[in-house]
Amino acid sequence: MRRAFDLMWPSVRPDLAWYAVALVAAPLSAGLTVVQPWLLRRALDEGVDGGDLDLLVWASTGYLVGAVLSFVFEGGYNWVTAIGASRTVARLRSRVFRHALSLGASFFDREPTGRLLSRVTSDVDALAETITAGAVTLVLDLLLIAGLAGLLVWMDPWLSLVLLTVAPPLAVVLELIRRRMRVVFVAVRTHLADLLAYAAERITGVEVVQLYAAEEATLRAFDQRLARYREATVWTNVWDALMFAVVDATTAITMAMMLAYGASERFGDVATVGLLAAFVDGVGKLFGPIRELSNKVSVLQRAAAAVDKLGDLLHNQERVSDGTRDLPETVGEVVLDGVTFGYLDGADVLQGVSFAIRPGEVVALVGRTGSGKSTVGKLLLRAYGGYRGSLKVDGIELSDVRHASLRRRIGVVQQDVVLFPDTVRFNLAMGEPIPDERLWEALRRAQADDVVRRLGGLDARVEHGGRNLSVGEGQLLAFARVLCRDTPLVVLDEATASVDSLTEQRIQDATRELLRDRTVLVVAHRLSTVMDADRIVVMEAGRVLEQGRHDELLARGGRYADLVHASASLGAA
Amino acid sequence: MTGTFAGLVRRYGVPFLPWYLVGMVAIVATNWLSVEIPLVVAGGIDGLQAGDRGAAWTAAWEVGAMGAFVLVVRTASRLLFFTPGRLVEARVQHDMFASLLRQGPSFFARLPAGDLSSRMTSDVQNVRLLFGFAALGVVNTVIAVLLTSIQMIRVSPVIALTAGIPLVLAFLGTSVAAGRLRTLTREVQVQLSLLSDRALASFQGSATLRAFGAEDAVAERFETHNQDASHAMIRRATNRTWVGPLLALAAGIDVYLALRLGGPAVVRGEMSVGDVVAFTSLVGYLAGPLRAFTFTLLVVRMGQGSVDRVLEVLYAVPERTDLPDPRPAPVSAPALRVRGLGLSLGESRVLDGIDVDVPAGAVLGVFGPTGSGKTTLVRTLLRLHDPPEGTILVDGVDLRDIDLLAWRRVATLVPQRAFLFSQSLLDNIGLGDLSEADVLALCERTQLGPDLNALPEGLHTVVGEAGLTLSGGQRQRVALARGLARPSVLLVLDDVLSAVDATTEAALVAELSRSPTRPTTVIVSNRLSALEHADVVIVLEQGRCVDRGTHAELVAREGPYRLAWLAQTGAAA
Repeated sequence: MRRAFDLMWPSVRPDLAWYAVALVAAPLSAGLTVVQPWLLRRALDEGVDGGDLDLLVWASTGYLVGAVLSFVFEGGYNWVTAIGASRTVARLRSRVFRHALSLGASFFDREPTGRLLSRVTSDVDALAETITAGAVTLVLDLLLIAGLAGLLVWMDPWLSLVLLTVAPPLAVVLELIRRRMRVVFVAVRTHLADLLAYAAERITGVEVVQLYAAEEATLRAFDQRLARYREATVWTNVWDALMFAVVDATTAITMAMMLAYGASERFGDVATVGLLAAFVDGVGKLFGPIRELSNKVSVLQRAAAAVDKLGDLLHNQERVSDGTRDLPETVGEVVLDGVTFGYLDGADVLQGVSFAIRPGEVVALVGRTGSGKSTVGKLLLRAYGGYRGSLKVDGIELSDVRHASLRRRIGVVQQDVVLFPDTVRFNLAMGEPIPDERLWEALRRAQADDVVRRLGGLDARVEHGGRNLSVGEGQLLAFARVLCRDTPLVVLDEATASVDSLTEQRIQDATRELLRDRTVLVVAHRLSTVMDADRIVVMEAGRVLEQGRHDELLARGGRYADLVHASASLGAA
Repeated sequence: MTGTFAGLVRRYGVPFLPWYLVGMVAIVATNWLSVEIPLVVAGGIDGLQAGDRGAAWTAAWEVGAMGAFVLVVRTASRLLFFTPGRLVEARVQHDMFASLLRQGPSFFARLPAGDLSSRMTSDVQNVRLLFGFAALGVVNTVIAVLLTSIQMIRVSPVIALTAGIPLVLAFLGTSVAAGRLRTLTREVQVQLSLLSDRALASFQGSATLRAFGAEDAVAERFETHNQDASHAMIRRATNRTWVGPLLALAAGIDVYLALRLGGPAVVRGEMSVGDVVAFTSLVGYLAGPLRAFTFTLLVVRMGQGSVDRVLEVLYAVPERTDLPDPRPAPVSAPALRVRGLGLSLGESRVLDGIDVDVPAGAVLGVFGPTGSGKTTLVRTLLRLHDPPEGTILVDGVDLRDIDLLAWRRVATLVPQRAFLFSQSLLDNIGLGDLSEADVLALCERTQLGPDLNALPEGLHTVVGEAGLTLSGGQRQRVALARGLARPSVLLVLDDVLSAVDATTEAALVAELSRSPTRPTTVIVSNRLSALEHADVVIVLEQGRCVDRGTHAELVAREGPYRLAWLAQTGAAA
């Protein structure tokens, strides 16, 4: 509870004014709802039945004014609550998004993006629902129930007592039905999610289904899931229908009890027509909030689960700790000395790696999948902390370097190029104010200017995952992304995806452009890149096997020579 | 059957006609009871006025019995209308999925998987609402309004007509606003889906964002969209909160009118007090169905768009129409003969005048740059695209005349972009038909052994969307294993051999050609070492075959093949 409060408070506080207005409107609206049955009673008893037309005018006009004001206050209450909720939720959503992005690579390795997405969408939405439909209206409902019950008791305690005998059994029956419904709803959601996941995946992979002539088996598997879903949904209908029917029937039975009360010898002279009408009105109004009450409890329960998950995320501080020192203007040298590193829950993937990159040198890391070559690049980018040994950039231990300073000096081309659903400009500049001329210059050097021109210029949109670009074109854009910021040190993790020879040529040219005049660490997959390197570091199982120039290593006839002979392109290395 | 709403109703609604008819009886009963109960109560009250307690007792018993009856008919009416809705939903979902499994590539290019998923869920749910909720809503409202109006007019035509005015006005206002609510809701949905698209891309590309220090820039852009979404939600809330209580307000005004007009009438002796009480209850009762009806209108309007989207899938014509009396598929490696094969996809001519003969059990190599038509050619062999009549002959039989499913059971295509289902590697490779030992053997052949060792649960590791993400190379090796898992008479490898190293590639190619039941094989590759042992290689450029011969012949000749060979081997020499 305390944690939930701490979590929500910063996001709620700026909207307190809205909620304050809601809190004022709620009791006013409830009060008016309570007054109406009383006015109706006076109008009927003393006005109509007693023939007092002045009182009739007065009481009925009061009823009308009450209805109008009730409309204003109830609407106003709902309105300000909704405004407050959308504002609070937007703020919370941004906060959660920002926090998630601030976390380290190890967090994203572990957490599926789909789950993170539901943090910023459905979990935050659950809180919005709580605010609008739950937390604040709960106050309104409790006020209404208390007010109406008070009024009924005040008008006629005996009659109220008779009616109160209906309330507990009704509440029990409704709660039982609601419990069944909750179970069934969970089943519906689970089965639907299962059905959907299955269908979506088979649709995406429909060619595999068709190529393996598995249509019938697939449809059968789909039908099994569909049957489970259908059965659960039919049950929701049964409980839903019962729920409605019970409330309706209870209203009628309540009326019957009031008539019986009026008819009985014992209380007969106390009951008046107006009183009964007022009770019908009041009891009708009382059932609504009672019906809502337990609904709201379940909304609150859902919200509590969401708050829990959001709390876990917002309290997570899993990131690489920032250093305090700035790198000098030009980064010259990278020296690894006995670097050992393992990911969170695994064995060491680097075991005492030592090599150096001199200023302006291009060093290519070569080795099979799992040799640890990509990990070296990730460590240098500070995606992961916690290495042992020493990794120095220009003589400063990497763990002491400020992240911001490091990022200004290091550019990176990642193996799997990531493009964002945004403009070309944003995808290149990544939010930095880089002038257009420099962007175009970088695109020219990366041989991607015609690609961007075809898309429609720098303001053209790149679709989610770069769908409107080919794989090779995406890689060229990633080169331009680095070229436009002219960082002195570059980590190039070459892509393995096969592209056609024309694009391949372009990529090789762009790679040469990138390697020129820079200190570069290449996690290499292309023979052409390796051959251009000043030095080649061959890795296997987390260790450096050998290093040297292409011809030296080839002449030595070691592992490198094997790799080259085995493959004309190193494509699978 | 035609793809219209009427067709949809005939196909899915008509079978449930008995349900609807019995349901209507239940609705009439429900409404009759709802209208009759206040009248009986009024009669009882009038009896009390007159000092006739016996009449009041009778009324009390009657109302109580009617309440019990309400329980039955109310449950029945909802069940009889909603259950067909649910059953229709499941039937439509089944039929849609079955239709999807028959569609070809151009269909899926037009309707992406995400869109199809939402058609199969939210759109079908809207259709379900038409068959359940809307059907009930229309019938219920018509009956309720009819019965209530008759009763009100019976009590007092003047008051009934006067009281009708606010109700009608409020109903019209609510209906108009409900239409607008639909636009506003769609706007909110669009904004939210943009927002989640952006969040997903950011989480997926978190490594890139971190490397470029672009977290803040992305968060700011996220916030802008978040604000837009928030404003859209507030606009929707404004509409919702002020329109919802309109009918309640009208009911309040009607109570006032009943009192002001009815009171003097009672004094004049034209009406009884019970009549006035009955009137106030009837007015309150009428507001319910009217309010429900505005939702019904909303559902119907939303349903119209959804119906079209569902129909488009349901009645989509499969691209390949199969003959009623197909020829059997070959049982041993067939000879392929391609004669003047040309194919257009959309506007562009992808294949043009391809001629090639592949003897039974021979290996055809296909070489050419991206976009030259290689993939289209091999996809046509599996009838993922339909070849024109007489252009592809399998053992002399037109491919179009062969039983499609049977052909796909004996011909295997390993596509370039491998698709993995969210299941274990074992099931992905064996597709549920192979033993673990067999699959392990396959993994060795396709160099998946080292990959398996690195996976947490080896062959039982769940991959795909819901599981572990494999690299592009790993995915292709899995697809290769899947393709080799079953005996085929035709094996087509679309540029997948680049996923294994040259030694494994050579071993695989040699193994295929040695196998006693060796299939006719087509290998598409840009790595020429894979084509060295092909019996014939064709070189494609812009959909045309520009050269052909054995590997040795092509290397000896000037041309793109020789150039590629020099580039790939010259480098390594």
